[in-house]
Order: sequence, then C-alpha cells, then structure tokens
Amino acid sequence: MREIISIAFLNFKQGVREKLFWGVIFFFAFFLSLCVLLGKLSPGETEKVLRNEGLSGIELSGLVLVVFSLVLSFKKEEESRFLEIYLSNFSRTNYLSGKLIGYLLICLFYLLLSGLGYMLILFLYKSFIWQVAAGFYSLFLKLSILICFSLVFCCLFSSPIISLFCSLSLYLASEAAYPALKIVSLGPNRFRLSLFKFIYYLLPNMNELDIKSLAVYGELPSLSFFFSIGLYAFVYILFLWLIARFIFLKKEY
Amino acid sequence: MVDSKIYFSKKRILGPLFFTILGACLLGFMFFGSLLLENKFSLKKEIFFYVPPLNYLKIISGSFQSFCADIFYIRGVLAITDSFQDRMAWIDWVQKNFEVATNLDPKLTQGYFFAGVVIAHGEEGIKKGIQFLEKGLKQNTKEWQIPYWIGFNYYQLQDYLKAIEYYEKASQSPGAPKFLKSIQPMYYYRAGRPDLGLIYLQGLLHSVKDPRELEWVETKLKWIENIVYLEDKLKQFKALYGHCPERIENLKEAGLLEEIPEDPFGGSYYLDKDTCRIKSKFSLSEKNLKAKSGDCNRCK
Repeated sequence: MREIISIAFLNFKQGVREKLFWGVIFFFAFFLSLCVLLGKLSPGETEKVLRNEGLSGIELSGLVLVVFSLVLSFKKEEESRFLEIYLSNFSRTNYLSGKLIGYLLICLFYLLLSGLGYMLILFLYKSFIWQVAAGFYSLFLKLSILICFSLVFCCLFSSPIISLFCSLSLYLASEAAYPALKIVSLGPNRFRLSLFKFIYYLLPNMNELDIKSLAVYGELPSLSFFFSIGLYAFVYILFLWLIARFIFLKKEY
Repeated sequence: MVDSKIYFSKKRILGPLFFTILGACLLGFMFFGSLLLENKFSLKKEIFFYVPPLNYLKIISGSFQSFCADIFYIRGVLAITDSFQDRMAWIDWVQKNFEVATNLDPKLTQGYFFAGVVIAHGEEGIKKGIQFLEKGLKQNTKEWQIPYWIGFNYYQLQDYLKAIEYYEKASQSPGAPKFLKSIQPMYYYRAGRPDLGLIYLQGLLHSVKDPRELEWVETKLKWIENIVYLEDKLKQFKALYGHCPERIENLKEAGLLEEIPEDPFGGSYYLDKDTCRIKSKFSLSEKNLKAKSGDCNRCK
C-alpha cells in the first residue's frame, strides 16, 4: 500500500508541475472571462448561462488535461526508461494503481482550483447558488472513468496518438450514445435498436452521470441518486483497472 | 584613474538595431496593408443563415445540450439586430435560433419571450409569435409566462376571448402572479361580454381570502355589475324606442333608471355612440387602484 501511495504522490507532483497543467489552468481562466461575456450577451438568462458555460468549460478543460497528461506521461516514462526503473522496484499492479490514483488526485486538484475561480466569478456576478458545487461531483466521476479508459488504451497501444484518439473518441461516443439511442428507437429496425441499447449500456452512462443541466437551475436529484452514481462509477473504474492490469501484466517492457 | 568609457562593438549594436527597424517596418506594412485591403477591396460577403437540424444537434451535443442551447440563445439574441429586407424572413431566422435553444433546453423561458413577443409586430408577425409560443407551451406546460405571452399576443390582436382563455391557463400555473386572475373581467368587458366577467368575478369572490385582494375583487365586481345593469337598461331603451340613445342620461330621462351608478374606480360610465355600448373611463383610475393594491407591476 505504501508503494501505491508513493507512486501516486510522485505522479501527482509530476503532473501538477507540468506545463500542460498550468496551460489548462490559464486556458480555463481565459474561458471564464469568455463566460462573463457570453452571460452579458444573454439578456434574461445571464445567470444561467454564466453557471452553465463555466461548468461545461471545467469539464472540457479537465478532459483535455487528464487525457493528454496521462497519455503523454505514460509515453515519456516508457521512452526515458523510467518505467523500467519503476518496474524493477515496484510490482506492475502497484505501479498501475499508483498511476491511477495519482491522476485521480490531479483531476481532483484541477477541479478544486478551477472550481474556486468559477465560484468567485459567480459570486462577483451574483449568480452563485450552492447547487452548482454538486455538479463538480458528477464531473469528477465522469473524468475518473475517462482516466481509467486512457489508462487501458495506454497499456493496450504503444502509440500515444492512438491512445489519445481512442480516449477522446470513446468520450464522444459515450456522450452521443443516449440521443443516438433515442433516434434509433424511433425507427422500425428492432435489431438496430437492440444493438444500440447494448452499446449504450456498455459505454459509461454519461447521460446519467451528468447533472450540469439540473445544477445550473438549482435543482438536484435525491441523495440516493448521488450514492448510486458514485457506486456505478466505482464499479466501472474497478472493471477498467482490472482490464488495464491484465494487459499491463502481459506486456513486455 | 581608470578610464570609464564603455565600448560597444558595432556587431552588438547594428544587429539588434537592424532587426528593430525591420520589425517596425513590417509592423507598419501590416497595419497599412490591412487598412488598404479593407478600403480597396471591400468584398460583399453573403451571410449564411443556417440552423442545423435539431436531431443532429442532439447527437453532437450529448451532455452539453444545455451548453449548445445557450449558444443558440445568444445567436438568437444577436439575430434580433440583423437587418433583413423581408420582415417575415427575419422573424423566421430569429425564431429558428430560439427554437433550437428552447428545444435543447426547454427551461430557457426568455427565449420564448424574445421569439414570441419581442419580435412579433404586425398582425402576421404576432400570429407567427403565437404559433411559436403554442409549440413552446406543448413542451413546457408548467411555465405560467408562456400562456401569459400568448394571451398578450391575442390581446394585441384584439381577440379578447382568446386572451382570457390563455390568461386563465396562465393563472392556474404554479408561480403565476395574482393579478392574472383579477385582470380577466376587464377583457370580458372589452370582448363585449361583461356578463361573463360578472360570473367570473362572483366565482373569484368565494376563492379569495386575503382582505386586500377581497376588497379589490369586490370593487371590480361592483364596477362590472353596474355595466351589466346599464347595458340591460340600454337594451330596454332600444326595445322601446327602436334606436340607441344619444347620451347615458337619456336612460334616466326615459324612467328606466333612477340614478346613473357611480364608477367605483372613480371614473364615470358613458355611452359610446359608435358601438351603442356602455363604457367606463376606468383606465386611469384602474392603474391608480392597482398600483395602490400592489397588484400591478407595470402601472407604477
């Protein structure tokens, strides 16, 4: 366990010191100022637009940060032979678990920093409602699942570009799965509907995990919902970690 | 004593100087070049008025539907300032943007307001506004504002009975302001059916508990009762003499009534010769009364 924690903190420190992390923070600060402008362009709905654009910006910038940072660090360690040094001292399972926890911490830290900036802006423009804070919980769950997918792709492919491409495509596919299913369900083809249903339930259910559109209006689901999505995300992460571990154990470095 | 002169080599001075001058020249060229291009070749670019189909947008946006809705909302707001030669095409363009916005996020109520009320002018425009709001009402049944705005549009079209129908609908939605209930008799009166307004107010009298509201409803009831009473006398006059009286006082002179009732709003009743109907100079007094009772936000 100590090994996992030390690898996790090492990854966390490395990730936070990287230029990419601060680049994303800078991008988000720029995005926040754009949100203020968009809010001013939305008479009648200024507060809602400010809250919503901010949350969406955090999700998108967080997505870029975790996926790029994880894939690039994995590749860097592989090329610089750091991976060999790690693996000669730690077991493969511990290394992978530490990496996962490290990136979950980076994600949490980013959400904390961006959340503070976001809420400050909401306070300044008198748009703050406490329910938006609950939106961060769902964002963290979504990004956590994505970190795991990136980890699986990093273990599976030796090319970082393919890993990046697959991670982002999977995110897009899981985002589009629900409306696609709704459209397919309007058609007469039962086989296609069953196939889409299968894909929809197999992919991470981003539609259920997302509460942005509710939180910005100050509406929140029940506590049991929060518990359920937490459990769902935990199981999903565990499953993906098992796959990543299986691939990583088989691979030669 | 040490010689304090500092020596610079030519290479160390000329190099940066050359690049600074070159940079300044290029910057100047860029600036004036842009100005020249703008003035010499002002290209007339066609603007592409296009709104993507909703189904595709729903697929692309995923859990960012609300985000996309905001973008189209802003597009709609900006489209209001676009200049079109064809007014109906402009209304279509603005409404398309707001339609996408409100479909992606039905809670963007202000979108209905812009597309259904703000841009709706002229009979055709108002009708288009009503069509848009009707669609909105189907997907957003709980917002009192949408039926209120439809009612407002019908009011502008002087279809008072339809206006009443939608005000009634609005007044029954959660969060609806109280004045929506007591405003309806006025429209019954304008629609030429004060008798219906009387029945409505009599029903309202039993459901109101707040003493201030009760006083307000009673005043309106008295006002409309007088109108119904006077119209009844007017009918009797016409039946007796076969024509419309010249003045309201003729009813008194004909012995049909002892006194002309007082207008509880402080105005007075009069006979509109063009329509041969009893009318009231209520408008100014009503505004004052509403402002006093705190019912009316716009009156103050």
